[in-house]
Amino acid sequence: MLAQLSFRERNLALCAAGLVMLVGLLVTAVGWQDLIAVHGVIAALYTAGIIALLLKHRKAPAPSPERLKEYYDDPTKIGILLCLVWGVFGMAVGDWIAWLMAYPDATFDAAWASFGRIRPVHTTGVIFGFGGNALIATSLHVVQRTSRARLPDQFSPWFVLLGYNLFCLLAVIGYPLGITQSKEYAEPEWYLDIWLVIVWVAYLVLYLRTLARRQEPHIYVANWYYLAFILVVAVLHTVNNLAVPIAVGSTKSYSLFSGVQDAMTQWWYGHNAVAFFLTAGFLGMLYYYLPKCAGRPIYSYRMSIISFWGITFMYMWAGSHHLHYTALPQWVQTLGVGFSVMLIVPSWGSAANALLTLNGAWHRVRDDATLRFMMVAAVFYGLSTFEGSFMAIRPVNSLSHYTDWTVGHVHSGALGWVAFIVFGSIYSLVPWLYKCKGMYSKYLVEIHFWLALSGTLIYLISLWNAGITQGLMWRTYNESGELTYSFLDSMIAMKPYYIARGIGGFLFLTGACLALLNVVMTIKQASRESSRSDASTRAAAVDLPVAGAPQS
Amino acid sequence: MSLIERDNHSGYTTTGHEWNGIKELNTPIPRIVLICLAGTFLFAVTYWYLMPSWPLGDRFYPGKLGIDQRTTLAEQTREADKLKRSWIQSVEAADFEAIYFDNALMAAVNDSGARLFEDNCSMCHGRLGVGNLSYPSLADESWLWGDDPTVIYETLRVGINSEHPESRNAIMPAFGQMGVLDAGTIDDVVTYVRTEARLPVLRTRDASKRLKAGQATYKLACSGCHGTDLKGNQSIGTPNLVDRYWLYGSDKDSVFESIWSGRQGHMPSWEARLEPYERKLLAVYTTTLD
Ligand code: HEC
Ligand code: HEC
Ligand code: HEM
Repeated sequence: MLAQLSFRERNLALCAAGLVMLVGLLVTAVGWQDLIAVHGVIAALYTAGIIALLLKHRKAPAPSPERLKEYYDDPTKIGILLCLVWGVFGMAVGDWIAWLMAYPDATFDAAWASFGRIRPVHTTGVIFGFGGNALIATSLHVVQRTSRARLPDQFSPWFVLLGYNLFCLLAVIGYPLGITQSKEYAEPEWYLDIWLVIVWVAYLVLYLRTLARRQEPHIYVANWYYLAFILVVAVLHTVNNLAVPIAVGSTKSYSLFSGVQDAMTQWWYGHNAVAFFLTAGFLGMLYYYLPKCAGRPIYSYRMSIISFWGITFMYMWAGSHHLHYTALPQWVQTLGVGFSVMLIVPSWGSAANALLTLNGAWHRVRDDATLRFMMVAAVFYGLSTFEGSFMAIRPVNSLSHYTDWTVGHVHSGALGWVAFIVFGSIYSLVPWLYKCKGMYSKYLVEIHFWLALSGTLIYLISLWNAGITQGLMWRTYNESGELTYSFLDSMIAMKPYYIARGIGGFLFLTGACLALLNVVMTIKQASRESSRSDASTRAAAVDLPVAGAPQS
Repeated sequence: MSLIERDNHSGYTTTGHEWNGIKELNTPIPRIVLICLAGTFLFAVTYWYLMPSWPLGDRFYPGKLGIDQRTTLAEQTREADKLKRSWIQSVEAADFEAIYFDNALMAAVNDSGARLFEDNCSMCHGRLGVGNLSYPSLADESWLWGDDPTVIYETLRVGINSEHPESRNAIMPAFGQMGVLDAGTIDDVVTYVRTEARLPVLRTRDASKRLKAGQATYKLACSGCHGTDLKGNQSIGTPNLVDRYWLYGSDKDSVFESIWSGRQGHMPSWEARLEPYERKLLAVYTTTLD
């Protein structure tokens, strides 16, 4: 794989890795009394590993210029594996904290294992590790195919992928140690935030450069979404993480915002992270892999347009619905309600566009679990966006807020939409990438589908029940005007639901493990077959870019 | 590539673009979508018209209905208080004796008292009030300060070893740490106290000698607080040492630790957090625990 890099690219990679390693060591030296040193050491080890690999292949013969006439998929291949490994890890931690809610003593009396520290390990693991790697891997695949152009160089995709994973790794190791700036989904401290900005800008530039080289007159919808995702996340991340570190050698920093401004900035970020990280990027995935797999044209180009612009324009203003009935001035809340309700139709537009695209291919949905994954994803996308708009209405929110209904809502999107579309896309993408007829086992895909669906339904139904029960118990008064239930009563009432959620999560996790297994076996099988025949070169002939990469 | 085709299945034409095999139909937007879109916009605009919404420089548009969440909250709280007032007054007016004989008030004790206890006390004293290591059981017959509701009411008001200026104080001195007694002497007292409490003690050869020494030390150093009969003194909150209830554990090491390092349990004051009628309900509820 590394032998594909030109000599110049190998040297560039060595320099970049060396630079990061140097920074890591410097941070360790400056902050050796602070926890930041742990991060410095890990960053140095991580880059040392990369440097060792590069040095091993430094003397490898120069790659054939023929390769520049093909698409560059190596980073996508590694990205898919990273995505699945993060997925299994993040979901395992998710199931652990799920059981922790039912049996709170399962922390081995260790501070690092307490709920508050492990929870962000789960959220970062699944959102950024699993979701983020899936987005990077598929976006690089999709942008090349729909532009019919090869990536402009071979260094920057690796910089983006490996740099991004370094960010995730450091973040996840930091939380159990207590390194966090306590902003949900933006927990990593200032120096990691800076690192992510560098990686993200490289990602944006790589994406734009590829698009600029496209051989199609128009830019396909999937790329609109991927681009919106990359661009908006850059803005959100930068603004929400503006902070002043207390010292260069310290993990600790203070946010630029305070009080209600801080809360509003955080939820402007938080809500748009859902919109542009967990929605827009995955819609890009949906718009490529679903029609490709179904073999049907997109139902309506016009619907794509109103959905895209509706979502990009209106999501921005909806974040205040996370702060109903708080110190946030009411007028800000009202604006959020309006935009949240206006969001339903564009959202449903995307879901409907996807489902109507399947018209004429429903027999395939029945027979092919891969396509069924994507179909269910579209259904859950519709369900959770409707639920979200509903929960944004103030009186509804007064019941749902602070309860497990919110968590149920998140997971209707996270499991039903995000994870389903990722699995569907990976199951269709892996055989294409490795040029084989299908996944190693169709049955495992089928089993995974039913495990994932039943796990999701158990999770959602138990938490909807839990949330509404909780919400009602907290607002029931007896005839003397006193609260009827204590908080403890509501906790005791939650226990069966928490246990059910733990079981549902376990089913979902089992499915994710099967996916990892299936993908690894497919790769093994493909490499065995390609060494036996030249079938791969024949299959590749149809999947070639018009614009190869410039010689370097 | 630009080639407009007709899709056989839907009958619509494509837009003429193709990306790696993906085409798009030029299907018009279904009317129902446009109607719903207009509907949601109408909702939003109406809602913004009625409620406080758009910012206008240093002010904001207050909304046609003139609703404000802070005044709404204040009104609702006032309404709720009005409903509760007569009931609260009847609790506040009744003395403890009267509450026990009033079925309606006792129902409130069992209902609201139980909820207040779970919300405020259960994390330390347990949901059923049976306590835990270092946190006394309120459901047994052993009391530090007494089981009279007036006493409990006062304990709730000021707390024990709390920050309240009138706090009850109950401090078991750290005899070992402060160098008043050495380890050997404390060992003897432990033997004496545990013998009196009818706990099994190791029978060594010098047992009776040590018991005597322990008894002597007890008389000198402890009886002033725990009483010559070891039964404690509720007026100063010292525990009974021979009633088989142990706050900090009855084994040899725990008792030694109590004497060596001292003890100072912390019971918060509730004066600033709970209304008088709530503390009253709680005091009565606590006496009914068993
Ligand atoms: C932070 C833990 C904590 C909480 C909360 C707490 N207590 Fe206590 N309470 C204690 C401790 C510790 C003691 C014993 C103090 C001592 O060791 O002298 C105590 C003592 C008492 C006593 C005296 C017992 C006796 O034997 O005389 C009463 C009565 C009592 N608590 C009632 C309550 C009630 C009612 C509440 C709820 C409003 C409550 N406590 C909340 C820790 C707590
Ligand atoms: C100044 C008064 C005072 C003196 C003197 C005193 N104690 Fe105490 N003792 C207390 C108080 C008050 C407590 C309860 C502390 C608490 O509840 O946190 C206590 C608690 C104890 C306990 C723990 C009881 C349990 O239930 O776990 C033991 C044992 C004990 N004392 C033994 C002794 C012995 C032996 C001596 C003499 C060496 C002694 N005390 C002298 C006030 C005193
Ligand atoms: C095995 C499957 C999973 C299980 C068992 C699980 C479990 C949990 C639990 C117990 C919480 C904490 C809830 C709380 O604080 O009360 C949580 C939070 C969260 N999880 Fe998961 N999870 C799973 C998969 C996922 C996936 C795949 C994603 C996203 C791609 C995801 C995204 C989130 C998010 C965003 C939160 C924060 C929710 C909030 O702020 O309310 N989870 N999860």
